[in-house]
Amino acid sequence: MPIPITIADDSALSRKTIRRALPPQWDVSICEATNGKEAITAVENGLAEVLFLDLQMPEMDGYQVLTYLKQHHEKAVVIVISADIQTQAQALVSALGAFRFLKKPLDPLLLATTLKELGLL
Amino acid sequence: MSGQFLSEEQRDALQEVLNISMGQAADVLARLIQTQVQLSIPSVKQSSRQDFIGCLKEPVQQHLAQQSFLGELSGEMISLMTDNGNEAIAKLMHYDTPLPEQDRQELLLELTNILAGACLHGLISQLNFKIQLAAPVLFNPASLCSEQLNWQQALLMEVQFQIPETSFHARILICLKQDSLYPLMHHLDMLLQ
Amino acid sequence: MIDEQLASQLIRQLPIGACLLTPDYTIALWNDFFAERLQMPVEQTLGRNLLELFPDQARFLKRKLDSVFILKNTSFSYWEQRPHIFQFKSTRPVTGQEELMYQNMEIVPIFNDEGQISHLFLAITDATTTASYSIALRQAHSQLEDEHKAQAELIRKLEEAQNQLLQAEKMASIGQLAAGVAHEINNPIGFVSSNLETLQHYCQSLVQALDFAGQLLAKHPSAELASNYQQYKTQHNLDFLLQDMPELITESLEGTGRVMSIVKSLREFSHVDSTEWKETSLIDGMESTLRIINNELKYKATIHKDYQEQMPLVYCQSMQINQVFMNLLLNAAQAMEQPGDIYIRISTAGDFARISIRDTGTGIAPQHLTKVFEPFFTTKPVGAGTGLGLSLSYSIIQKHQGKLSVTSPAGQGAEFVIQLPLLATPKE
Repeated sequence: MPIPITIADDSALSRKTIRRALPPQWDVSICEATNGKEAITAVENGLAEVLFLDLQMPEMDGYQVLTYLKQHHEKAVVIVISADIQTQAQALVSALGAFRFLKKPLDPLLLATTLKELGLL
Repeated sequence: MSGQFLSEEQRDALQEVLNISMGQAADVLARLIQTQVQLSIPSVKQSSRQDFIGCLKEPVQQHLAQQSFLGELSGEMISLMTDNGNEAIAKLMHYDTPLPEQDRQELLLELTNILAGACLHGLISQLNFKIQLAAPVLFNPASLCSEQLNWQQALLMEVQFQIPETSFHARILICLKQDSLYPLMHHLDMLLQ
Repeated sequence: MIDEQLASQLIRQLPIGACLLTPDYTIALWNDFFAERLQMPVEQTLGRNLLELFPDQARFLKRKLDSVFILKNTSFSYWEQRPHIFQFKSTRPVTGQEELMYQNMEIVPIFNDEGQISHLFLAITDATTTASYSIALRQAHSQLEDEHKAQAELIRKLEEAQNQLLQAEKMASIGQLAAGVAHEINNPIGFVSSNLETLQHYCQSLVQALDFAGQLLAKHPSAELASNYQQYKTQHNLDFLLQDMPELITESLEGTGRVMSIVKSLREFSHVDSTEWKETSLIDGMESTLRIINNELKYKATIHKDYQEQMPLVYCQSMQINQVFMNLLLNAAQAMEQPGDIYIRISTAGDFARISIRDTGTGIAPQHLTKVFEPFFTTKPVGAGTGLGLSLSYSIIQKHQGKLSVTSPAGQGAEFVIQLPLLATPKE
């Protein structure tokens, strides 16, 4: 049974890049969200056992999504993938309950390691 | 050549590449000054000569520096910083304040090298270009007039950096002439495959 | 392909300062450029800490080197912002004016195979020639600007002086015009006046004649004649007429008298031969000047005169002296913000004639007192007066070997005093 995951990023290139970086052996069905609201909708519709979340999105950004999920869906698994790699951003994301912060450009090996840690691989 | 230089896809890709480069530049500065740096959403737009000059001359009270790059892609980066927040960033960069004029200039050139340089290097590494960076120099747009420029349309990529709780604000413009765009488009296409 | 020895020689002899540092600022390479200019041979510097060797520049160098580590990119320094990083003596000890070498610096990161920075390469280039040209150019430019400004100021002053001269010429020609007009008016006024005097006599005679006629008629036995006469007189309002006629003529004579007096003042003031030296009554000159500028003064000041009796004549250029009087009186009037007083005193003091003009106006500030006679000095706003009046007055009095001075005690207006020698000889 493929695992439902959601990739939330307003950049088409980025969504494509993340898709390509996913381990090929991982059996997933992918939903794409282009902003924070769509990401939350996907989570609430059970389409995001893992949510790959960009921080800079229109309508609702990644921080706002994390805050919402922390309040309403504590069990959600979020991996933040962002261009804003400053330590403050990483610390904030961690405090808001994300499992991991991965820097853009995304390193497929790091992604694989993270998924292994989550027991998903 | 009328119409847009880049397709929607290429523009979206370029914006993302810029975004990542900006993130790296902000990170470098943040580590140097041990303070968080705020990023804007980068913009990519086509500009006529008049718009370009207008861009440089507003707002009036700002200082500009220019840094050239050449190689597979050649163009110029222009950084624009207002006087506000100078003292704040100077302190963070371990300069003595009040800032004498020569130090202010040196700081502007240093920040240009850091921000513009890191942005460009981000672009280079993601798009696989071989490019050399020249030294940054002070730049006064007052003597620039559109008739002197030998191009009609240029691609302007703009990113902005701010330091919260100070009034420091820097704009970086990466400017490519129309005929420099083919290598850019080519490399973007490679990324998009 | 070059071998290690050749490469090493190349670096040593590069015409730029080359210094290779490890991440802890230790010097791994130090070429001849550095060694010779700083007089620090290679043996002394290899393995030493750069920041310890140059404590004065340590803060700046550390900042730059550290930033290259984080930047992972080249960092630059320009002579314009930081002229002398290392204290190299100038490479132009004979022809150059500078003591120290102007420098540009680049710090380039060197990466190892793992992508980490293994070394930092510090390159110093001599920018002295460019720097000195640039500085000289800037100085020349700024000098040009200063000269330009001075020239512009000079042009402005020349224009003002020219205006003043044109004005003086105009005044002179107006003077001539006035003299001409005065002359033309004088003749008809002369005979109007003399005719009126004759008419006055005739009038008296006619009145007497009618009186006599009336008396005769009154004595006549025919009462009808007398009453006809009376009726006639009443009908034609003769009584009133006879009373009014002499008054009309007297008033007309007063009028012509005034016209003649004005004409006389005009002629005295705008004497056609302006450079003529002659024995002059200063009192007459002052009076005619006062008449001329009566309109200017009448709402601004009350004039108080104190003329010495038997004031001697003074040998001078009367038109010029009158011009001085006019200048001082007009200044005095302009100094009054509210209607005030002007005290004029003409007297002798030893061998000098002394004319004092004192006003109750706003006075002159102490710091300006020594400057008031300077050409172009004015406290009036731009455009109101050229500041040449007092300096011209001063030079006129000087030509007469006299003295023009001013005092202005605080809160008491200003007093100008002219002294003219009684026995003057014209000075060329």
